[in-house]
Amino acid sequence: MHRLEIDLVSKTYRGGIQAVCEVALDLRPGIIGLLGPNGAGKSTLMGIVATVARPTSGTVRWNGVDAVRAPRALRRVLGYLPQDAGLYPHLDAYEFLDYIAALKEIDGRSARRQIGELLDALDLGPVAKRALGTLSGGNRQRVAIAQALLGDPQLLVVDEPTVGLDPEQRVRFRDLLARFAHDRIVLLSTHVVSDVEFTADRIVVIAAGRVVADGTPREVIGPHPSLEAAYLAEVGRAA
Amino acid sequence: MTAILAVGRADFRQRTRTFGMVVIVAAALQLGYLFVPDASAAYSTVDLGGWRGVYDSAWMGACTAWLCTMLLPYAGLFLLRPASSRDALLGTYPLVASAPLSRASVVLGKWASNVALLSALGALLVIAAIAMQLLRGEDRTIDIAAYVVPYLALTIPAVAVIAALALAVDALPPLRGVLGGIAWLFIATALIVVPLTKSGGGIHVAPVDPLGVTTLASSMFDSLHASQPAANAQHDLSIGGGPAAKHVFRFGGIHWSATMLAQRAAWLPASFLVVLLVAPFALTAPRTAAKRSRLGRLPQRFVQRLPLGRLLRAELASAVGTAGPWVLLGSVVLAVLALLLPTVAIDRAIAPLVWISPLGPIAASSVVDARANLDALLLATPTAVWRRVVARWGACLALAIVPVAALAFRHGAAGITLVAIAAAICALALAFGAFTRSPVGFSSLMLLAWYLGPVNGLSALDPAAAVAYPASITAAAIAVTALVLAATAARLSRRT
Repeated sequence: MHRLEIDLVSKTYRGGIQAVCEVALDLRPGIIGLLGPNGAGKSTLMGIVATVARPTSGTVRWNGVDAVRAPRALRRVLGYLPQDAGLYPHLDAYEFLDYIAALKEIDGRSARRQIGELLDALDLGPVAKRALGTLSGGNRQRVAIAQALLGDPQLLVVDEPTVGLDPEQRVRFRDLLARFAHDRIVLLSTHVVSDVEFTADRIVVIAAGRVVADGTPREVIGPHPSLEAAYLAEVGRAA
Repeated sequence: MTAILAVGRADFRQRTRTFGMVVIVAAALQLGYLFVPDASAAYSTVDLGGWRGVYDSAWMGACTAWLCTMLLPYAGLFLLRPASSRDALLGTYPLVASAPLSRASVVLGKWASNVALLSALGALLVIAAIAMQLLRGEDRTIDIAAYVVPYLALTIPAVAVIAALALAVDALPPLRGVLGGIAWLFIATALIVVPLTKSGGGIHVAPVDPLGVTTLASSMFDSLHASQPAANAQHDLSIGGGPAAKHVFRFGGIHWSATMLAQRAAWLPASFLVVLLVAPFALTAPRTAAKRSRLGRLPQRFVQRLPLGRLLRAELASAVGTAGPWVLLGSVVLAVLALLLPTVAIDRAIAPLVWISPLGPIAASSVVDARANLDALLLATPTAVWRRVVARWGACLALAIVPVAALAFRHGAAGITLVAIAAAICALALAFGAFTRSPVGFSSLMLLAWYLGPVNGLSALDPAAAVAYPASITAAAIAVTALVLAATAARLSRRT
C-alpha cells in the first residue's frame, strides 16, 4: 500500500512570506480533500508534493524515499494538475496528451490506448482533433485533467481541478475520481467545499499555512451542521 | 486627464519593474561612458572632419542629445514594442476593454508611458554626461542650461514622435510580430538618415526632422566654422566609433531661434495627433488560435507521421503549428531560390530573408511553456529536463534548417558553419525564453544583429562572413550551443 509522508514541511518565500508552516501529514490511498481559503498555502503545498517547489525545511517521502532529494521516483507515479495550467494552443487534444505521455515515459501503444480511454471518459471525443486554443475553457480544463490521469498515476495531485467545469461535468469528474482513487492517493486541493464533501475519505483544512483540522469528513464536521459550517468555523478560528 | 495619467503610470511601472529594464539602464550608462572617450583614446564618437569639441557643458549637452537621437529609436525596439498589445499578452485586455474609459484615453495613457520611459532614459544619459564632464576634466564648469535646453527642445519632441510611431506600427496587425520589428529598424534608421541626406550640399536645419539631427549637426558645423575658419570640414560628420579627432575646438552651443523652437515644439501636437489617429486600431484583443483548415493542419499531420522519437515529434508538431503553413511554405520557397539564384542575388536578398524568416516562430516556440503556464506541469514529469530542452531545440532547428541548408549547400563543405550558427541561434532562443519568459529580448537582439550583419554586412555579425573561417566558427558555435543548452536545462530544472 502506497504511503506519502509530508514531514514538518515549511516554505518561506523570499521576502519572508511564510506560505506553509510545519505541515505534517501521513497519507494513504483514498481521496484527501485539502480545503482552505485563498492564500492559505494549498497550492504551495501541492507544488512541494509534486516536486516542483522545494520546502524551506522538512521533507516529503514517497514510500519511504525522500522526494525532495530524489524526486524522480515520485515523478514516475505522479499525475499533477497545477492551478491555471495551460495547454499548447496549436496542438489538438490527442497530440497534447501524446506529448505528455512521452514525457511520462509511457510506451506508444499503451499511450494510444490510455488517451482513447481518457478522451472517452472525459467526453472529449468530439473535440479531440481541434486545436486546443480553439476549445472552450471547460473543454481545456478536461484536457488538463486527462493529462494528469495519463499513466495511471499512483499519486494524483490536483489543484482546483473543477474550475471552469459546468455542474454536470463536476459531478462526472467527482465520480471519475472516486473510481480512480480505489488504491491510489488523490490529493485534491479546493476552496469549494462541495467538491470534496461527499467523495473525500479524509479532509485536511489548512489556513495561514498550518493544518487546522484533519480527519474523516464526519470527524471534521463534529458538532457543526455541515462540512461548510465546520470549515468556516475552523478557518475563522485560525484567523 | 487623471485617468490617462493613471493608465500611463501603471503601464510605466509594469514595464520598468523588469530585469530587462535593469539591463537597458546599465547598457545606457555604459554607452554614456563610452560616448565621451578620454583624450588619449583611439576613437571619437562625434567627429566633424577631424574636429571635436572641448568637453564643456555646451558640447556635452549636444553630444548627449546626439546619443539620445541615436540610441532611443533603437532602444524603442526593446522598450516600446509591443506598444499596445501588451495587455493582450499579459491577459489584462478584458479588464482594459471592459473599463468605461475611452479607447483613445487608454491609448494616450500608453503613449504617455512610452514618452516617460524614453524621457527617463534620456534624463539618465544627461546625468551621466554631467558626471563624465567632471570626470574628463577638460572644463569642469557646469552650465545646467546647456544640458537641459537640448534635452527639452531636442530629446523630448523626438521621444514623443518615437512613442507615437511605436503605437502606430503596433496598430497594423501584420506588424505586431517580427515584421513590426523589422519595420521599426528601418523607420528608426530613416528618422536619422533621411533628414541629413535631404538637407542638401551642406548640413542645414531640415523642415521635417523629428529627431532634430540636422539642428544638432548644423549648429556644430556653424560653431566650428565660426571659431576655426581654416577648418576644412564641410559636412564630414561621423557619429559612432571613428578614428580619434585630431583637433579640438570650443563649441558655442546651439543658438536657438524662435522658429527653431517652434519647429521642435510642433512635433508634440503632431505626435499627439498620430496617437489619436491610430487609437481606434491600437488596442488589440488577444489572438486566439485560428481554426485552421484541413489543409492548414497538413504540416502537423505530416510531422505526426514522421519516424521520430515521440518527444521530438510532439515538439516539432507544436513548433510547426506555431509557425503556421505560410512560414513553412516560405522556407521551402527560400530554399529553392537559394539553390537556383546567382550568388549576388543570394548575398543581397535571399540570405537576409533566410536568417530572419524563422525568427518569429523560434522566439514563440522558446516561450510556449511559459505562455501556456506549463512549466510546473512539465517539471513534475519523470523525463529529464535536458531531454525536453534538446527536443525543443531540435524542433526549432528544424524550422530554420531547410533554407539554411540550401545556403550551406551553395558554400560547399564550409557551409556547415551556417548550420552550426543556426543551431547556436536556436539554443540562444531557448535560453532567452527560459531566463526571461518572454520572446522580446531574443527577437530584439536578433533583429539588431540581423540588421547590422546580413542586411548591412557588418562581418562580425554576418554568417556569410563566418564561412571564411569554417573550422573555428563551427567549433565555437557547437561549444556555444552545448553550453547554452546546458544552462537552459539547468534553469528549467530549478524548483521554486
